Amino acid sequence: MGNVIALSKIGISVLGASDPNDFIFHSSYNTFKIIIEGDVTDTIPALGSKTIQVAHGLPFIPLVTAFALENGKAWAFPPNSPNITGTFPRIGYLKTGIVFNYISADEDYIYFNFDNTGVANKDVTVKFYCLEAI
Amino acid sequence: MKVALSKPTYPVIGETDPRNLIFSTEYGTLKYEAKSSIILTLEAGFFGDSISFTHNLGYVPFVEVYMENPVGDYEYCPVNGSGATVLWSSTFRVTTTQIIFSVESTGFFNDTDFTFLFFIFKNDTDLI
Repeated sequence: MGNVIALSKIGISVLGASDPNDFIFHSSYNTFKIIIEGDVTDTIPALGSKTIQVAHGLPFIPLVTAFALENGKAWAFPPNSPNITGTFPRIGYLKTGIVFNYISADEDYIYFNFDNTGVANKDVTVKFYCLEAI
Repeated sequence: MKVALSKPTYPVIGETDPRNLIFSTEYGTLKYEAKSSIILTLEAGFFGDSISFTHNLGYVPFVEVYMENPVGDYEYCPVNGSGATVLWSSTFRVTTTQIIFSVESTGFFNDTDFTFLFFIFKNDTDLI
């Protein structure tokens, strides 16, 4: 075994630890590096859908995660989810009409797909992180 | 000046491809604030409910959420699932003070627990 650089969590001996969960950092394990982070704002048309496209400029297809903010709302919501304003026992979700359907990526672009079931255009901002190569 | 550690067989000097690096000060990392869990009990016959966890960070943090479904498996949230006679889904939203976890279903015959396991990171999404 070669040399390692390791930092253990408080209360755990760095020399005796072997569980990766006991380390803050260990050079034997890769880390998720935030290779790119950014945001993009676009308008989702009423009763329609839109795929927002962002060029990533990386020489590989990145692993991407993101959160969305609907203009005028005070919370972020994740991909694969409707934007909900509340949940009620006899109704279920109360939705704004915006649905963040998916994230995908290829050699050149990241794609964020949304639906808008409302009767007014709505602006959304997406905060995205490229963490690693797929 | 920067600090970098390359993967085995890659010389660290001159290496600029992040795929070949274990760590580099050129790139940010996700910094862990807390790991916790919370149980939402959906009462029999209810179509939805929510439960919140207060983080009080003052900004919308990066989070990762998993949900233990009614058959005991952890799935990456948001989740859509089904059983023999019922459908369910779960999602969450993040404010500057809370994470609000929600479940919607077509109605269970009995009270049903949904456990959300979540990781909160220090990283500010800067969305608000």
